[in-house]
Amino acid sequence: MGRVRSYILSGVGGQGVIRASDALGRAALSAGLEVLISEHHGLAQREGSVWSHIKIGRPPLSPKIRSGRADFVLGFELMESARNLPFLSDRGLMISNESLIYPVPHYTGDVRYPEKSEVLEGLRRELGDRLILIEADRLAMEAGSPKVVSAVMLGALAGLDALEFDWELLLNSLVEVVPRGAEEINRRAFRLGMLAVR
Amino acid sequence: MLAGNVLDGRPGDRRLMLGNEAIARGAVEAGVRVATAYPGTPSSEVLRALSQVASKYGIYVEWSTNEKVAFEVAYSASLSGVRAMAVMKHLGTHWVIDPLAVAAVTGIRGGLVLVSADDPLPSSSQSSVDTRMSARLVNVPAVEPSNPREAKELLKKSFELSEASELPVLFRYTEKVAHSKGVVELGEPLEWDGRAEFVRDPDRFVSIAPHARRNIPKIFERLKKAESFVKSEPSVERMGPASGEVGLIPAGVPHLYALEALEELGSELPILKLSAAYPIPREPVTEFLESVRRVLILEEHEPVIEDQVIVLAHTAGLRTEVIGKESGLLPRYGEYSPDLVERAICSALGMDCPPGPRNSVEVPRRIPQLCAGCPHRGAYLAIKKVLRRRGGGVVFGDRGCYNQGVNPPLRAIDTCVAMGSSIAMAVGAKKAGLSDPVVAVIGDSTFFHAGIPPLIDASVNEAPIVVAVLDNSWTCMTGHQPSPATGITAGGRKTVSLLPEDFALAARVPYRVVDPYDLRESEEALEWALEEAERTGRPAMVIFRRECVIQVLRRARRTGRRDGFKPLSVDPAKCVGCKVCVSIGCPAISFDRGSSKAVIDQGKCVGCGVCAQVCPVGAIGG
Repeated sequence: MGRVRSYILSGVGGQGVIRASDALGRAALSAGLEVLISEHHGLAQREGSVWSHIKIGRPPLSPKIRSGRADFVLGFELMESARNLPFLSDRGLMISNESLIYPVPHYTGDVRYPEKSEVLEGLRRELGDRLILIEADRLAMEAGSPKVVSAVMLGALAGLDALEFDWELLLNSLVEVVPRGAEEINRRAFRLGMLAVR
Repeated sequence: MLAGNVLDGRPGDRRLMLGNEAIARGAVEAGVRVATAYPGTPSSEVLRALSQVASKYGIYVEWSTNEKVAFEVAYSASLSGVRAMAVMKHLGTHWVIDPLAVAAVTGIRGGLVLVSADDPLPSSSQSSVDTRMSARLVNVPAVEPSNPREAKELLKKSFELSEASELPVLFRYTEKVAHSKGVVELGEPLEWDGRAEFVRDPDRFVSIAPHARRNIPKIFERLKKAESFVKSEPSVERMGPASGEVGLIPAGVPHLYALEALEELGSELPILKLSAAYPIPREPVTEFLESVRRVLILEEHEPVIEDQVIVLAHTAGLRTEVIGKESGLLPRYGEYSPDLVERAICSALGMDCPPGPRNSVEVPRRIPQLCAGCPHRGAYLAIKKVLRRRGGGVVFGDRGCYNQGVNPPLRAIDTCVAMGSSIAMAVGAKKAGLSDPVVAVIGDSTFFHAGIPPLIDASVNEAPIVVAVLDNSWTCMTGHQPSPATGITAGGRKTVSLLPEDFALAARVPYRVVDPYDLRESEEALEWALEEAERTGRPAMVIFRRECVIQVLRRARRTGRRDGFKPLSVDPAKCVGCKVCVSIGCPAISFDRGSSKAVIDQGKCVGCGVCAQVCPVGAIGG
């Protein structure tokens, strides 16, 4: 590994991108590493795009990832994964939820968003086996709540050995940042995510 | 979220903090006694974080009515001898220029820092101005950090700089610093045991023209003191080789992009990193210019440092070539990126530039909507319907969540300018002779911030407009800070809760209060207001009152009581697939192409019932 490992987490408002970024950052901190997370705030609660750039390693750490330099794009929603494709490096992995969330203007016909098949086809063409699809919505339901997609996705990241520290640190810090009472369900979701890629 | 507070801990503890939180911690460590703010992205988390530890450290915090008030409260605290800061986004800083200029004339006593969050992209602002220019305009020092760790240290230094120069300091930082989380080590909080004391000095503090004439020259002596304060580390950092063909003077976030780009390019260059943006320290900069033939200035927004460097090089008779914005290499707008900085460095070195980013799987922008159950939706639907009945009208918008009303499918507003502009612009349209009905839409926090003077204007100058106040009791767009309508202070204490109608009454503007979840009641009130305005030739007001649904849901989650939030559903046997419910722009409603029926997401719907009121066939129910 080089000086820095770079991750992009992306999704739609309400999917827990910021919380998952926090978990990843805290885990890196507890492993004694330097970390910088740049969050795209605003409009998160209003169905907008949400993303964060995360760098773990040694300083200097700037808040944005240069195009073509992200080691991982962890996408909680398929269109938001595609949006971040230009950041992925030649050898980087895209781990994406296979499901799509359309905004309202899609249903009213005001804006034309791509079909799921178009997005999948484009990503497969660009990435081949560097695209890893996760049925995160289904696994989250299996864990007990549609709200733990982020835990499934972090689990997948851990399952792919994408971390430079023990995956249990990530699980511990995830449990730290979730609401009280939701710890168990997040643990389950994390493990299902891990199993899905192994 | 988490128990405990990120700001609280022992010196030496390492914490993952937002830039905004690091600034708040910096205030604790600097011994700040008074901290004020008006919420505005990207600055809002500073006071939120500080308010959580304020009582422990004996800091007075307040959400001020607007930024001008925030600055004046802090300025006065400084004149009483304590350290004070006012926090705001760049748009608020514009409001402060008047008293800020006077503070430069009078000078300050306790350290005074104006924390000004710029939004170069912009990611959440209607314009994007470099507030270092405001510091330059009124001749007060400006500084800028590049990451959260630096933000904390530089904020502390800014108080020393302010006291050393007797000038308020403008602490400019950008969205990328505000919303980056980095590892920050806690330092020792400064114990302040002084007593506030106002020392009368009318020749100085009563800035009437004869006094101002005498005191204005002192600004420039103070600036000299500021310059001498910033001529050494950490305001100036010298890195890389001692001399070279090409050197860099970076400031703020572009400094970090430059370091990464140099690593990427495998090249080492002389670097003079500046945290002081105005005035720049002439001595070390001159020395640096003498060590290179060509210097690339990297700073976001305007060429503030660059122009000073050009003037300095010219007056010192140096032949160093200065490149950056003035030479046309870099833009004066937009947020810088690692790609842009790398290309600029390549260009300065005469190397081939790497290609820019491209996406072969394009996806259109995800258009934000009002939340499911947002009370603004009902208000907009009523306004649209009533205006449609009258053959159209103009809707002047304002600053807040209700901006989302511009997006398809609602498309409910025609303008968005500055805080409080809606009402004055409605007046202007009528005075221009517009015969169409005119509605000004303004939220409660925005109304208290800047809507009252234009309401008085509309009343006194007799403008037949309708003012629609969307009163949801909170400042929501920026993260649900209390507004004057909420009845809670920044410190969490109960206080009076103000009502917009009391101001309408005082301004002699007739009003009605309605529930925006009730479309018929809302439409009737608007019809009344439009007729009233037409009949009397004066303004009328409709107050759409219902608490922000996000806050209601949060409270329900906390207390475990979720009664009244029963999701609705579509009866497929009755649904005719007309999409009228889809067209209200609710994120809980989608449309199934297979069956040609609307579908309500049971996880998102809060049961506000607005869609059921628009459904022409009664297919939506609980």
